[in-house]
Amino acid sequence: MKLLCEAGLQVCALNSGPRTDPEKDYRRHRQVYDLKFRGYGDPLRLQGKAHQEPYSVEESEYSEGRDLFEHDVAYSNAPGTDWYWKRCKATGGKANFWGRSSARFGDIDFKAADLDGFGENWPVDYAEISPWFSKAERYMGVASTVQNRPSNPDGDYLPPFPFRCIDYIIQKGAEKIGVPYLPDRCAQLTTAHNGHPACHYCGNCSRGCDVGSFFSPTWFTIPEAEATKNLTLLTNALVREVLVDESGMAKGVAYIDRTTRKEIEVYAKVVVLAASCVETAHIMLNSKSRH
Amino acid sequence: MVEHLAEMIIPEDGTPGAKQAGVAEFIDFMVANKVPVSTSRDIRSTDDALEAGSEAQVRFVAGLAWMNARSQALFKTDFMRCSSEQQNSLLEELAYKEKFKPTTESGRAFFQMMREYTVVGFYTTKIGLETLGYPGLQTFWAHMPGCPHHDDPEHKNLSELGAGSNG
Repeated sequence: MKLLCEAGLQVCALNSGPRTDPEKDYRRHRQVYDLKFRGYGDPLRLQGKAHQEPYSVEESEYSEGRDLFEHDVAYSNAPGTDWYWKRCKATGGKANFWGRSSARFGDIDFKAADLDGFGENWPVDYAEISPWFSKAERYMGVASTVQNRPSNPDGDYLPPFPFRCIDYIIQKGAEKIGVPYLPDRCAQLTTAHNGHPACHYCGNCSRGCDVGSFFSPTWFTIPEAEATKNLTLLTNALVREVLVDESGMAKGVAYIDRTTRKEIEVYAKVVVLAASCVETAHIMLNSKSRH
Repeated sequence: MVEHLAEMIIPEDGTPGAKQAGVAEFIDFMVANKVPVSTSRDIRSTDDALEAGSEAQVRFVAGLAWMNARSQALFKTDFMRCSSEQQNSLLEELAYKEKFKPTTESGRAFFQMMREYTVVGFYTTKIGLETLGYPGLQTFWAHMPGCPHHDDPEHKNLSELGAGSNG
């Protein structure tokens, strides 16, 4: 989105939730004793909502305020199953709170079918994609070490996080059984990077970074895309289906404005669906045309 | 009485105790608002939470009555009017397995609940966390406080608490 805007294209981005505001929606370094219910949360918080189950970690009393997570629309599971679907409906989505593990694919992934005989190989291989991985890593800021393992190829990394006591203890134990214990590729800034401050280790990552010390759209791509003036960001816009023209090619999307309940159509030369795994499939399933 | 019980569980002995940390007010608040604190139940909906909270409230209030009934049976007077030796012996019978007496099951359940509330209420206050030396009270670290035990990577020589704190 940001790259397209910077290249000069007019981009319309639709998000099914409100605009995330770090000032209001994140933890803001509150301690457990600053909270009314000391972290246990108001038991009546979700009363009356369609989806009753509270989401863990990311949604907690620490970041209580607006509900960035979807509770107004329930989902059902197939009988006998119990699938837990965390839905964050706000700009940046779950990337506001993500785990930041950013390992590269290697040929072990791109050419997996050659190795195990199942499925299909990717149409590209590691040599082709490697420069793009580097570009992404240089933009995001990923901290790790050089490990020389083709299954988890090395990239352009910031200095790694120092090991804690527990890391050394596990590493020593793992050594004895021949298991390497290595730092993950963490998209978090150990040094200031491209104008974003280095992490100050407050531990609030899963409830939103107040200063933008890890890669998230809220702090990185959205402000930069907006600065180009080529971006139209529609919020509270729930995409219903992809619209196609007479020849069956995508021509736009139909969305429902959650505030006015009106259905609106947006037309474009190219439609990109990036609505999170399940929702993208959901939109596509809803978009069956006669073609 | 709640304040007194809390202070008996986490007394002031060199470091601040439950009374100073306002644990009694916390317990009053949580019980009155039916906020479940016990982790024994999986709370998956508002109804679950209300059920757990109501149950907690009923048991807590009944437990306080139980304490007075027990104290009447043993010492012919209400719990708060007993001497501290009497109060201690009553509580120890509920707290320590070796001292369990028959027919005190609901008292022991109440004590578990009281202890849970007290510990939660104490260690979610600034005072309580300070007694632990909890590193999380500091929210700004210029550098990540990594392992300080460079000469002992297997951490064979760690002592109980002190050695683990950040230098």
